[in-house]
Amino acid sequence: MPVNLWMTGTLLMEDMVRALPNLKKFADVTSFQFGNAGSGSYTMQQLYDLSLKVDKALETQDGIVVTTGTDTMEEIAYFLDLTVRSSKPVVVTGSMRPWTVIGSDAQANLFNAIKLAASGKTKYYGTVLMLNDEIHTAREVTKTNAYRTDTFESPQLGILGYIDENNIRIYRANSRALLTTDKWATPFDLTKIKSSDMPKVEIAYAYQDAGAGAITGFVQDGAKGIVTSGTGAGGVSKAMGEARTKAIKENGVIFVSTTRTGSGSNYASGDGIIAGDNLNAAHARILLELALSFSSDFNTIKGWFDTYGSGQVIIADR
Amino acid sequence: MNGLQSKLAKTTVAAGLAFTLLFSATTMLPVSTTYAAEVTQTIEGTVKLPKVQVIATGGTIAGKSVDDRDFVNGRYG
Repeated sequence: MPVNLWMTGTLLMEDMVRALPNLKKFADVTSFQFGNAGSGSYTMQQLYDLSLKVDKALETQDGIVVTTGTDTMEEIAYFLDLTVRSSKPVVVTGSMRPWTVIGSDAQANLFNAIKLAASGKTKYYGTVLMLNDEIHTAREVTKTNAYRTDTFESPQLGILGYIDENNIRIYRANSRALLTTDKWATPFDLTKIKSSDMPKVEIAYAYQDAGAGAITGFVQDGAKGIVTSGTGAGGVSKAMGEARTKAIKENGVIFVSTTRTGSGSNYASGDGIIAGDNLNAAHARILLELALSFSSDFNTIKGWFDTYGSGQVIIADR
Repeated sequence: MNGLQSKLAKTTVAAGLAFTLLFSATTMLPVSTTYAAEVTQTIEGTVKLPKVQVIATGGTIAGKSVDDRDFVNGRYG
């Protein structure tokens, strides 16, 4: 009996779109094969290319669906969320079961994602993720189960809405959707940098009596930023803490503090350390990498975490 | 006009109206149907559907089973 019975990334999107029924009733659908690999195999430089491709396509399209593997889908979605300049709908989807197996969620997810993008209902929301009929904002969504088809959740804050057959319902706005047009785009315009400008940013996981090796190793490997996935409200072991202080003072590494608990915020910033609010470590790493691509100034980067990173809803005075 | 003439006139008018309606129904209906079909076709032909492009990067959604005996185990992406 073979170990891997599913070969991921073997079907072409052109054929998958053609197999979906009645698409022509609600959208004029085309496809572009950017690649055909698992989500975790893409480099940050390839995500840079992907983002530019999405923006280029949105010059002529009304909406974009990006299909990816689910393993790092939340990171790809957040990267697109922070970098795509167009406010038109961008919907990321995929599936937990391959296209050809019994009980696959692939067809339904692709069909609903196209429907959602065509509806225009997530315009100004930034990139959203749609799986299992549920719509999530990219900043908050995370994969919570290795196998289940309802794996994606937005801890504590919940989904934006859902799709029941032809009914697309959006019940809340993310902070992005409330921004005025002139403030909508983030500072992370990829056309202003080269993909090689993107620095190395890593994640160090905290645990009982964790050693200094992860942080010192990352610094030796050239990391310009490190996100700590801390215990509780961002705690790290004594050894990790000492290694962090040394990296800040001697190497100018910028740290972002997050929690490994799966939800909840970090508030304590300090010299060289930025609070990641309730971004999980993977999301915080995406933002830190982009921030370091555009600035090396601690206060500027901290400001971006306080605004784009925190994602708080701020209603203007009327 | 006496009562008989009046009744005859009414009958004639009613018959004429019925004939007209029947004629219209039998001769105009196909025209109407054709027109409706043309309009529908015109609407389908000119209505601007939203343009959506699917940019594919792979992953499990593009996966193909190589063994139809087992749909639980697999590699995800």
